[in-house]
Amino acid sequence: MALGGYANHVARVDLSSGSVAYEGINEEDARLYIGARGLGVKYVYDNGPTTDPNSPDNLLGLVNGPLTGTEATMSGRLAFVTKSPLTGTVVDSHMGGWSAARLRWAGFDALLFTGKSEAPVYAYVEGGTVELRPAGDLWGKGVHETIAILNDRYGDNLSVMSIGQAGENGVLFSSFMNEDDRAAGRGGTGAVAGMKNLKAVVVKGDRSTMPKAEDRDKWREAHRVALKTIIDSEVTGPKTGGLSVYGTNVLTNVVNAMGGMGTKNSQLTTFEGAEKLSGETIRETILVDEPTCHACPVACKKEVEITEGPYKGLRMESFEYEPAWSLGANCGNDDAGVVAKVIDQCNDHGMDAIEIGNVISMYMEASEKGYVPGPGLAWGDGAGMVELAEQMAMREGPGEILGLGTAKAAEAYGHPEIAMAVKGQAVPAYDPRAIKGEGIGYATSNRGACHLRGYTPASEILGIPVKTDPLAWEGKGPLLKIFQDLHAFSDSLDLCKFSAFAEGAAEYAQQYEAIVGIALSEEDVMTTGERIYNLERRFNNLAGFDGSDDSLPERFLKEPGTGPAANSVCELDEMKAEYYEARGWEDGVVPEAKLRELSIA
Amino acid sequence: MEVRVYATLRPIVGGRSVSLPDRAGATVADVIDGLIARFPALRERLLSDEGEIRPYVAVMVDGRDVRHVGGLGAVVPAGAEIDIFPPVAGGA
Repeated sequence: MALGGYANHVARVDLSSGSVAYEGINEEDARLYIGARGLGVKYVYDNGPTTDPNSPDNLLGLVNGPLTGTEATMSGRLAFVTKSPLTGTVVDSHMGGWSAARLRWAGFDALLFTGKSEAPVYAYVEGGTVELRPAGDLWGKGVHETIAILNDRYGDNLSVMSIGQAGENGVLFSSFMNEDDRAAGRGGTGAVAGMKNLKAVVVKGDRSTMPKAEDRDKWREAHRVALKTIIDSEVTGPKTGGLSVYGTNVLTNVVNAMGGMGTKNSQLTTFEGAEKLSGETIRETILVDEPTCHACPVACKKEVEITEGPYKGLRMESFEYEPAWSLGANCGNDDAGVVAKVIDQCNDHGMDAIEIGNVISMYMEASEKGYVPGPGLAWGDGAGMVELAEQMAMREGPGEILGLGTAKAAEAYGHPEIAMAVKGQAVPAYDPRAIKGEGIGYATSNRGACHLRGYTPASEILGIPVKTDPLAWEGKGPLLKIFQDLHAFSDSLDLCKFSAFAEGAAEYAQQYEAIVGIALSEEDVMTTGERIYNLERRFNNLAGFDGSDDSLPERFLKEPGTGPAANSVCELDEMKAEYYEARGWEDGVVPEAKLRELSIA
Repeated sequence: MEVRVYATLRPIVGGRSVSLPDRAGATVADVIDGLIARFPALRERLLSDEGEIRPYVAVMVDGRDVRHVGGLGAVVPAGAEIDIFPPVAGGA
C-alpha cells in the first residue's frame, strides 16, 4: 500500500474455527474512510447491515486510525465497531488510555472478530501476531480482577481490554473496558464479545515501534501547531483550562445553571444538589490523582477516593460529567459516594455508565407510578441503586429485565413513554429543552441517543465556532451537520473528541497529510466526514431505519423544563426539516444520488 | 446581590460567590465592573481589551447567557440570579 501511517496489517479472527488470517488495508477504503470509526464502519457495512447482532455472524472490530499511537497529541484512541444489540444500528465506541497505542505498537491497524468460540478465550496480541488462549479461568470474573491476573501473567508493557460479567450475561448495554477505568461504553460492544465467548484482548508492545510520520518535516510543523492550539486553549490548556483542571465534570454547574440538567428521569431540568457533585466540589473534596492517556497533556481524568460513608476507601477513576449526571440529578441522588460506587461497578462489571443511570431513573419513575411489581426504588435511594446495578450485571431479580436497557425494559413494563431513549439507547446529560442542538443531535445520531456525534454544546455553551442561543432552534440543523462531519473525521484519525475544543479541520488535515502523505484541504476533511456519516446512515437504512426513528421521547417535545427552560420544549420537527435539507436526505434516508456524490459504494 | 462564580474563577475570589451592594437599575456591565473593582485579576479573565465579554466566557442572568438577552447593557432585574463561568467544556 502506498499510504504512510498505517501498519497495513489487519487480523481476521474466526472465533468459531480458532483460525487467524492476516491481510493489508484496502487502500481505496483507507482513502475514503481514513481509519478507526470510518474504516471500522466500512468493515461492519461489508459484513452486512441485516446481520443479526446477536448472532456469531456479527463482526466485532477494534480499529485504529492512522494517527493512533503516534506522537500526535490526543492520539490514544481506537474504535470498537459492531452492529449494536442495543440499538440495531451500526455503532462505533471509542476508548482512551494506552491500549489503542499499544495495539498499533504491536503492529496492527485492526483486529476483526467473527464467529463464536465454543469455550471462553482471550486474544493475545504481540509482534504482529494474534493467538487465542483459553479464558475459562477468567470467565465470571470482573474487569479489575481479570486485568490483575493477566498483568501478573504477562508483565510490563501490557494493556488489557476486557469485558466483565455484564457482557458475559448479555446485558445489552455492556461495555468493553481497558485499564480498569476506561470504557468503549456505548452500544453494547461487551455483549457482542460475551456472545462470542471473547473475554479479553491482551496487547503487548512498547513505544520502540511507535510509527513515524511519512513526511518528518511536515510532521514537526503540524504537530507543533496542533499541540500549541491545545496548550493555548482556555478550555484544554494543561493545568489552566477548565477541562484540564476540573475534568469533564466542570460542566455540571453550567448545564444546571442553564436549566439543562435532566432531573428525576427528565421530569425536571434543574437539580438542587448539582454543586455537591460538580467538578469544583469533587476537586476540593475527594480528588487524589489526575491520570492521562497516551500523548495527552490535558489529563482530564480525575481519580477520587471516597473518604466517608459506606463506600469509604473506594478509589476509582472516571468521575466524569456523564455518570455524575446519569447517577446524580437524573436519579435524584446528590451523594458523590454513591455515584463513584456505581461508576466503579460499571467499570468492574463492564457496563455503560450513561445507560445504567437512565435504566435506574426509569425504574424509579416506574416505581413511583406503580408500574413495577413490589416497592421498586425511591428517588435518591443510594444503597438501592448499588444493589440494582449489581442485579443488572448478574441479571438477577429486576436486573433480568433492566439488563435489556432503558427502552426495552420500559417496553416490558408496558410504559415506553418513560424511557428517555432514542433508537433504543438512553440519552446523555444535556436536556434538549434547554440545549436544542442536542435535541436534533440525539434524534439523528446514527448510533442512538448520543452527545458525541455532533457536540453542539461547543457552540451553544462556549461559542465554538460561533456562539448560538441554546434556547433557539433555528439554524441548529445545519450547525449539527458541521459538528457531525468534523467529529466523524477526527474519530477516524483517531483523535480524542476534546481536541475539537482547540483544533479544527485545518489542524486535522495537516496532521493527516504529514502522517499519511496525502494532502487534504479543510473542505476535503468535511467531505470525508460527511461520507462517513452517510455510510453509517446507509447502513442503518438497509437495516430498516428511516426518519420515523429520528425521534425523541415525547417528554422533551411536550413537557416544558424547569428553571431557565421553564417555558421551553424541543422543536424537533422544525429542526429535522432543516437538518434533512442540509444533509440532502429524504425522510432520514440517504438517496442514491447522495451515495454517488460521496463515492459510497 | 450575590454573584456566583465557577471553576477557575473561584480561586481568584476565594469562594463560590461575591456579594455586591444592591443597586436598582444596575446593568450587567455595572455588575462586572463591581466585581473587577473588588478583584482586579478578574478583568483579564472576563473582558477583552475592548471591554466586551471575552469569547467563551458565560455571564448568565437567570440562566441566560447575556449575549442572547441584551448584552452588557441589559438591566439586571431585582432578585436575579447571576452566574459567571470561565470557558468550560467536557463531554464524556
